[in-house]
Amino acid sequence: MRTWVPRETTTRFYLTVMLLLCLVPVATTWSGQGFYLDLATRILILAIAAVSLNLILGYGGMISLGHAAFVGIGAYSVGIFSYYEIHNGLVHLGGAVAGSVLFALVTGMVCLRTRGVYFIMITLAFAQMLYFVFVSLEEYGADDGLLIYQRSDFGALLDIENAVVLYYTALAVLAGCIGLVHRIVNARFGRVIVGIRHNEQRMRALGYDTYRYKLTCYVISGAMAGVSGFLLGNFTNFISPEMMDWTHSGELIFMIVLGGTGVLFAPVTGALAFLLLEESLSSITVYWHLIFGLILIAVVLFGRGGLHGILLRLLSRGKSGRC
Amino acid sequence: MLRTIGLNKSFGGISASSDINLEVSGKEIRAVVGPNGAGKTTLIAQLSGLLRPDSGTIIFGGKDVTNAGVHSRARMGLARSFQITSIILPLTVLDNVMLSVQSVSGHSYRFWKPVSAEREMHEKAMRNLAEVGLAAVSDRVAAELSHGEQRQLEIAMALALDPRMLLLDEPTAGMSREESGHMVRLLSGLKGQTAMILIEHDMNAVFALADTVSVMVDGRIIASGTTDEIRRDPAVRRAYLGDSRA
Repeated sequence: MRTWVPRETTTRFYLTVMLLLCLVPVATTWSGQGFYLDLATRILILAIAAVSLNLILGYGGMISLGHAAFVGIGAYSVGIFSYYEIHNGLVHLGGAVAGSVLFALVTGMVCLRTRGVYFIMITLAFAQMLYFVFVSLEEYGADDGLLIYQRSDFGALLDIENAVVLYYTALAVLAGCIGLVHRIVNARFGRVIVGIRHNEQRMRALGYDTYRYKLTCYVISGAMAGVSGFLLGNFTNFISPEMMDWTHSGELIFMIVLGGTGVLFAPVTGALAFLLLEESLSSITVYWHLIFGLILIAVVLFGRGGLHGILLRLLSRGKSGRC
Repeated sequence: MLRTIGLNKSFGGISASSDINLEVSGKEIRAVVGPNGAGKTTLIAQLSGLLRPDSGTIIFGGKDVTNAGVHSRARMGLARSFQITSIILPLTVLDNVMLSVQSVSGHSYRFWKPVSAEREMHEKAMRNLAEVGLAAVSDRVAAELSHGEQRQLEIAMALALDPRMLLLDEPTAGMSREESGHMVRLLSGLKGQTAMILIEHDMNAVFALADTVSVMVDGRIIASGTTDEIRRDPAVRRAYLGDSRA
């Protein structure tokens, strides 16, 4: 049974994964396989978005199907400022966070009046609205998008034009986000959020204004996703409304389910598994979506608790009873 | 402590509360009895803020709370238990009570300090658990408790709010005789500590606990008085006691 946060005796495994991620640039530079550094960077950036979604979905029980909107806002912040030849990284980052906070606040105030399937539908609707807003903005390339000729400028200290520096930046941000979520869910605020997920009526009867707590949580999560969008814009050097498409929101949910809902590190293993599968399957056959779908169904049906659940069962088989 | 003036509430054409005037003062324990469908739970729902009355006023602790939400009434000291046990099943017994304690010990917009480091909250929660006799099972997951223990936990969560008044919706519902005896002893131990409004079908429990009784039939309070007065009231015997109990 899960209490606040599942007992993290699996933490050692996840820390090893993080450590291995630290070594990726060393391996790719040594072997000259730059492509894999790109793939790994993309995994880290999407993992950040998934970590942010896990805060509201995994811990708070708010299933948002519009999370890609925040990623898009973050990316467009880089794109639009660059378009006006403002390259200051702090401005880009500030724009990404401010934009996502604002969008989370405004849409959250409406979405969070609803619950369950209505919440899913309204988050989807808002994200699609934003998608079509950017499709109609001719100035910023409409549905063709915009090229970004220069990445965010953080001075000589942090030159993210360099692929390895960008990779480590993304890794540091990911670690920071995981740390933040860890603190939040174990602090008073996180306990309230988890309580609301399980029994909102009871939490209100205990004196909690649940709507405000959920809204705050939604805004924090949105801001975090905005940061991942900021990194994604810099990484791809290109932005388009397609980044906000609901299929990408769905992929983020898949990553979480694949990794294990409401588990601190699960979005990382989920993003790793998702993108590695996508990459390897699509190199085998053009019909890879079919195999991919079957694997996802199998994990959901049989891998109770996703990869985390499978890991727990493997561990408990190894050392009897300890999990 | 709590007063209602002319509460009315109807659903469709059916009147669930009509002209309810109720006054509970000091640390009084008021039982509300009446046949099924008399509107007792609807009354509790209006008192706790879950439902808004169509008309009328609710005054709690000298303040008009008619339009206050559930959470703000709880913060003012109006705690409740539900007819169908409402606890947070996947959490431990202690964590359930800790959430109550947390609610009244300052705000919860704290994002950094782990709750496990807040010793005082922990100790307060353990005291409340001891009060209802659940200290020994504090580490168990709430879902694993027996029905009776879960009802006790709900009382502990309400007590942890340091309430000025408890609204208890059938605290002995679905309990074995032994369990309900335990609950009655637990509640009578709280006499003089807090005011209570108690909905209860078990007349033995009512007469053991209540100072005063109000009898509801078809959305109206047909009689109010001390337990002895109610026991003797012929209209009450006809409308309620006589029907279900020989």
